[in-house]
This record gives sequence, C-alpha cells and structure tokens, in this order.
Amino acid sequence: MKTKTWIVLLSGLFLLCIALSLWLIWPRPAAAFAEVISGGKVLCVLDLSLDRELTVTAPGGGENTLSVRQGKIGVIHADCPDGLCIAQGFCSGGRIICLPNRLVIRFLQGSPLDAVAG
Amino acid sequence: MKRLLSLLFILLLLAGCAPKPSSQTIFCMDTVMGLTVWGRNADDALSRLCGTLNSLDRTWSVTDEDSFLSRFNRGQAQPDEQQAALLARAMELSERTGGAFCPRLQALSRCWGFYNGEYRLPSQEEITQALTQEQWDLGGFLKGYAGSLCTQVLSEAGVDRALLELGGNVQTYGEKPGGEPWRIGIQNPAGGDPLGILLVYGSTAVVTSGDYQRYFEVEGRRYHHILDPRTGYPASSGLSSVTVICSDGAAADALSTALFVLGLEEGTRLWRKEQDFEAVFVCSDGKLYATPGAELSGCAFEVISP
Repeated sequence: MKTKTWIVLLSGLFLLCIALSLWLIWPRPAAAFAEVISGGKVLCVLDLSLDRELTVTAPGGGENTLSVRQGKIGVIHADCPDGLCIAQGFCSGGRIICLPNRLVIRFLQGSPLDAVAG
Repeated sequence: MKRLLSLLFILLLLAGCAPKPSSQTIFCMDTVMGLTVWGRNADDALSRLCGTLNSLDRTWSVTDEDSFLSRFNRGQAQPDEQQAALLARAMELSERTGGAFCPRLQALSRCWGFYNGEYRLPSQEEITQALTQEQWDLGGFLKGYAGSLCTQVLSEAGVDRALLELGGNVQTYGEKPGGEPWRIGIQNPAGGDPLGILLVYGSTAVVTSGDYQRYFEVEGRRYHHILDPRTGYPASSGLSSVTVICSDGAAADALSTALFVLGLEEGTRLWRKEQDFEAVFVCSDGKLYATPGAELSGCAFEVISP
C-alpha cells in the first residue's frame, strides 16, 4: 500500500480511539438506582426514574410497601411495630431501614453523599 | 506507529477505570451495618471486620443472657485486659461529660422496654428503683468504639480506604483519591433527604444521636431512647439531634449522647472546655448550630463562638 493510504488509515484509527476514549471518560448524568436488601440479600435494584409501588415480604413474614416517586423512594406502608421506616420519608440518598423486617434500601448512584450519619 | 496508537488507546481506557470497592451489609448490634472497602485486600479486610464486629456484639450484648456483659453484670465473670480497658474508657468518657453519658443504665432502659421493643411507661417508683442499679449497658458507646477498633483492623489489613456505616454512626478510613473530602449527610430528624452535608477528611467518626432513632408514642407524646441519667426520663433539652465529628469513634459516640442530654447551652460549655471535637446541634424548632471547625454546607446554621 502507499504511504498516503497508511496515513489516512492510521489517522482515522487515531480519531476513532480519541472519540471512543472521550465517550468512555465523559461524565454523564448518573442514573439513580436503589438496591432493596431483605434479610441480608439483595432482592432487586429499582430505577428511581420509574414511578411504581411494590411490596416486599421479609423472610420472617413482615411486609413493607415501597413507593418510587419523582426520583425518590419511601416506605408508605409497613406492618412492623414501630413504623420508623415510614417516618424516614421519601429519600434519594443515604439509607432507609426497617429493623424489625430486616429491610434496607441503599442508594447506588446519583447520590452526592458518601454516607448519612443519624 | 500502530503499536503506539494501541498503547495510547489502552492507556486511555485504563484512565477511565476506577477501582471498584467491595461491600457487605450485616445485621449486628441490633442494627444494620454497611461496610465498603477499597484496595487490594478489600475482601480479606471485610471478613476480618465482620469477625471483629460480631465478636464485640456477642461479648457486649444486653439481650443475650450468656454474653460476657450479662455474666459480668450478674457478678459471674471477670473482664480480661481488653474488656477492662473498654469499660475503663466508657467510665472515663462518662466522667468527662459529668455523667450525662452513663454506661450503667441497663435497668432503666429495660424498664422502658427499649431492649425488646415492648415499650411502656414505667411508674416513678420503677424509675427511681432502676436508677439505683448499676448494671452496665454500652449502647451509646459500643458502635463508636467498634468504629475505632475497625480502623485498626483496616490498617493491619493494608487497605487504601473504607467507609463504615455502623447503624447511623459513620466511620471513614483513609483518604479519598486526590485528597477529596468524604461527604457525610446529617439525617433530617423530620425524615426525607439529609439536612446538610459535612465534609470530613481522612479517618474520622461522625456520630448522630437523635430523638427520632428509636421511640414510641403515648397519647401523642414521644418517648425516645436517649434517657437522662439525672431524671430517668427521655432527655428533653430542646434538641432533635446532635452530630459529633471526632477522630476517635468511642468519644464521638459518648459525646453525641451527652450533648443531646445536656442541650445546646450546657453542651456548648462542654465543647468549649477542650474543643477537641466538632458538633452540629439541631434544635426542636429546626434551627442549626455548629462549632467553627465543622465544615457544614447545604443548610443555614449559626456558628457557635469559642
């Protein structure tokens, strides 16, 4: 092949590399997800951009109804004795916990925080 | 040329990869703990952390009648060197806070039903009687102490950094890449998203004590789990929560309990004495007060004068 063809081929490859790398490195808006952990096992991962409701049954039989609304998630109904999971409200960061039913909702991405104290 | 290009491409690809942490969620000390560890020995460190936390839980459990603490309270066991050091540390912190943090309130917490969740309003006689008993209960200290102990385990395991969420207590370990601060939220006592963000650096404990963490209501009145050792009733000092930022986890835990019991004014006085920690007070009316060294953002607050 001619030197010219090589130059065209290689510069094309070079540009492709740069474009690919930029695409990989470029910061994109982090999609927010929440991990639902019941009895120590990950039950499901919820996309917080999709509004929905679901009921989680704990290994011990307790039930919590979760609701995803406008990028946030909260517990709207629970049969635990204290109801502290409902009192934690709708959140988009940190953790929501129902100790009696061994339920943990953990936020995976999109949270600007490393952790929440409290 | 071609080789050089592929090398460049691989390097660029690698630059985009951040090392993934290992994490685990466990139920321990009657709460949920989230452990996240970065570095080559992360998995090994995680299993060691779980071992340390579970062993502390077994030793100091108030609900397990066969735990060392239960046997010790009955006068059936003597502490070994490590256990004696832990008890001495708890007593030392109790003295520092003028007794506002008290590690010997087991009988009192039990009569309010805070151990088994069978909450009840005890009579004045029961409370007076419970206050005369001196059985140990290291709640309000043990999780913070556990955080400090975990940083030793992490340093022995040789990991880069870690974030330990010990049931509302946060313990950071090591530096984030580029010297970035750890961003720790302060729980909103009224629920919902965090109130503000605290920036902390390196290995630090951030501990919050609040009236919303464990409570029950009778006739519209809230009875929470932080009991005032002077009265035997839930502390009512006009605060919703206190967050303490300190390099030592055990101190952070005991101090947050003590400041909550003491209230803003007396609590501030305690802070002024040594100023070796930072604190954020959230009052029942929603106002926030912070010590000058607390790097708080995302909310309005008043700075406490030294």
